[in-house]
Amino acid sequence: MFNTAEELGDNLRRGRMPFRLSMLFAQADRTGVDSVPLVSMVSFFLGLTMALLTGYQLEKFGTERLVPTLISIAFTRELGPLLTGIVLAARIGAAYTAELGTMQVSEEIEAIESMGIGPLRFLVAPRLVAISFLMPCLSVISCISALIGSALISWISFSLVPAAYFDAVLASLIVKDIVIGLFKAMFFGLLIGLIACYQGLTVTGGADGVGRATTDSVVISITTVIGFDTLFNLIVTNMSP
Amino acid sequence: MSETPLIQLENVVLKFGEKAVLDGINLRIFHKDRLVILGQSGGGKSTMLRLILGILKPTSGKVRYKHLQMHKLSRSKLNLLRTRIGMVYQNSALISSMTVRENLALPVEELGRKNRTEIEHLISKNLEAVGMEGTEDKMPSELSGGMKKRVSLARALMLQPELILFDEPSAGLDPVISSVIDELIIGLTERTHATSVIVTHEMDSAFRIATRLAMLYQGRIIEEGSPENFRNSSNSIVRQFVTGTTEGPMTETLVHADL
Ligand SMILES: Nc1ncnc2c1ncn2[C@@H]1O[C@H](COP(=O)(O)OP(=O)(O)OP(=O)(O)O)[C@@H](O)[C@H]1O
Ligand SMILES: [Mg+2]
Repeated sequence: MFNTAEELGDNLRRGRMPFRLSMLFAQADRTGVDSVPLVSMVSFFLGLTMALLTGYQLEKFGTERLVPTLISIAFTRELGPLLTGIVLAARIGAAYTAELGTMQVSEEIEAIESMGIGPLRFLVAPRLVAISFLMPCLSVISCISALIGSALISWISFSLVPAAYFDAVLASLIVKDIVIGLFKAMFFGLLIGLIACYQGLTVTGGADGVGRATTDSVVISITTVIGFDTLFNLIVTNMSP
Repeated sequence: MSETPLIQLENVVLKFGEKAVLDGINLRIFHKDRLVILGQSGGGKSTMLRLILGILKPTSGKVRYKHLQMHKLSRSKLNLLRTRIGMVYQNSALISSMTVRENLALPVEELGRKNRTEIEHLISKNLEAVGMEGTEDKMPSELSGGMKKRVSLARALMLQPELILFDEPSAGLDPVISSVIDELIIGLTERTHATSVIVTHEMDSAFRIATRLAMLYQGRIIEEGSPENFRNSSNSIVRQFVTGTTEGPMTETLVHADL
């Protein structure tokens, strides 16, 4: 860990990009584009289910018009980043750990180090940058999918036409929620990336070690993301409810 | 021997936990040596190469590169020093997600002193030197073990190192390929005036390559000298290892260890 920090400083001093661009594009493609289907599908169905369940409850009080408000706030601020975080921890974090772990046990990392290249610029930084910039993008996609899902069910079950639905959404979105949501997404991305790379680079043993590290990586990432999310919410709501 | 050695190990002890894998190694490697290190499997030969690269730090004792003390160097100095050392790993350790070309280009690109065409030129020159021309676009998984070893050797040559370390270059290869690799090691080190350290179990290749030999046994160098010295060694352990017989002090300690 100290070594990597030192290496970062070193690269910056020598006026180099702290990561390799070509590696970043490769990682971004995989992390971002390939995750779109899963993120949007999960969010779509969650949005749909939430709208359905809350809609039936709210209908009793004749307030099913509140569904769009509820869904949009819940997703922009909370569920979008959280859900995307969980999906990416399982999908991308696991892959990062498994890849770096396999490279570690097959001495590839050591070979890279023995050439006088640190693994940071070449392996870790592109992954961290990719996941922390793509998390917010995917989180936006997640919110949009959830809104579409819930708009659909509101239309079918509560005869709320989509135009009215999206008017209500726009009325209830506030900049603060969006910014908080995006910021959280980015932070979660960074957390997942750090945990995954750290787990990968510190694998010991053979194939079993890689397996163990991958499981650990997913479990720790998801727990940490949920933990930080709770902490974050406590702080933010206490400061400005 | 007034010449300063390229590498000098002084009383090097290395412990993994309680177990001392290296227990007081003294060894000097001079310019243009082809030093072959012999020793039992699990005897700490790879560990010794890792010490020379500065990947492991000795528990006590000193590893010097010329006048520099390895474990006192800052990280950036150590990285700079490593660019002057090439290492061919026991299992090749090519980066499996990159093509042969990318593998070879990596160290040079990262150092950032050469442009694209120079790098291309260097890649084809080195691949030709190891007889692997035309494989630039292959992935490591498409190559056989011997081919990987040769590509790995080509990669080690990319930075024109003054010291090349070979970890069992011919282990697991057929006798013909392993003689080819031996010839390559001799030819390349002579042509580039590089110094090399070769770890091997194969006595034939050891005697073919070596200008000097050292025998590692139970964490110490028990014999060191020219191939002639080695063949006529009076040390019974060395004699047993060289001739490969099962009766002798080496197998006795093995038997005792089992009990
Ligand atoms: N990272 C490590 N942690 C703990 N023990 C280790 C580690 N690396 C090596 N060892 C132990 O050190 C000893 C020497 O290992 P080393 O790989 O240097 O042997 P070797 O002489 O290269 O053997 P071989 O000829 O089979 O490659 C072995 O007993 C091994 O169990
Ligand atoms: Mg070994």
